[in-house]
Amino acid sequence: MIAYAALAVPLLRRLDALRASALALGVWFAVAAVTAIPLLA
Amino acid sequence: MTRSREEPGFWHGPEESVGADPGKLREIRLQDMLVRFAFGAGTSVAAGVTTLAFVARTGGILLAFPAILAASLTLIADEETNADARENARGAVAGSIALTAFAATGAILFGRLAGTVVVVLGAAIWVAVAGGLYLLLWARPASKPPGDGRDRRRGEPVQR
Repeated sequence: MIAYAALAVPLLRRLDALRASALALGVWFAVAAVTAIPLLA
Repeated sequence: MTRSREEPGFWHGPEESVGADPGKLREIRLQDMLVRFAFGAGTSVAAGVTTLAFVARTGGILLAFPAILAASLTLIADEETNADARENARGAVAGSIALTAFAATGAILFGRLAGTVVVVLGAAIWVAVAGGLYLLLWARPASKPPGDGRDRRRGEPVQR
C-alpha cells in the first residue's frame, strides 16, 4: 500500500486518474507477490 | 478541472492549514460513498474468502489492498483535480506506514492480549505513527512553501 500511494503521486502527474490507478494497482500486485514469497514459504 | 494554485512537493507541507469545514459535508455525494463502500466491502469479502480457501496470511495480504484509496483517488481526480488526488496520495503514504505499524502490533499481540485490547492499542499506534509522520514531514517550521525562489509579494528572488 505504501508502494501504491508513493507511485500514485508521480503517475497522477503524467496520466489520467484511471490509468494511473490501474498501473499503480499492477505494481501493488507485483510488490505484494514478491513480499508474499517469504511470508508464505 | 485545473485550478490555479501551486502544488507543494512531497517534502513540503500542504499550502492549506489543517482545519475542519463542516459545510463541506453537504457536498458529499451518496454515489461516491457507495463506490468507496463497494470497493472496501469487496476487498474484505475477497480477503475473507482467500483466508478460508488458503491460509490466514494470504487473506492478510489482501487486507492491505488499496481498494478505497484507488477508488477515492479516481473520484477526487474526476471531481476536483489531479493535484488534489496527488495530495491525498501523499497523505496515504504516511497512513500506509502507520497501517504497517498497526499490522505489526496485531501480529505481536494477538493471542497474548484480548482481541479488543489489541485492536484499540493498534488503532492508537496507527494514530500516533500517522500523526507523528504528518508533524515530522509536513508541519515543520523549516518547511518552505513551493515556488520558484521568488518573493511572491514583490516578485524578487528570496534572500537565503
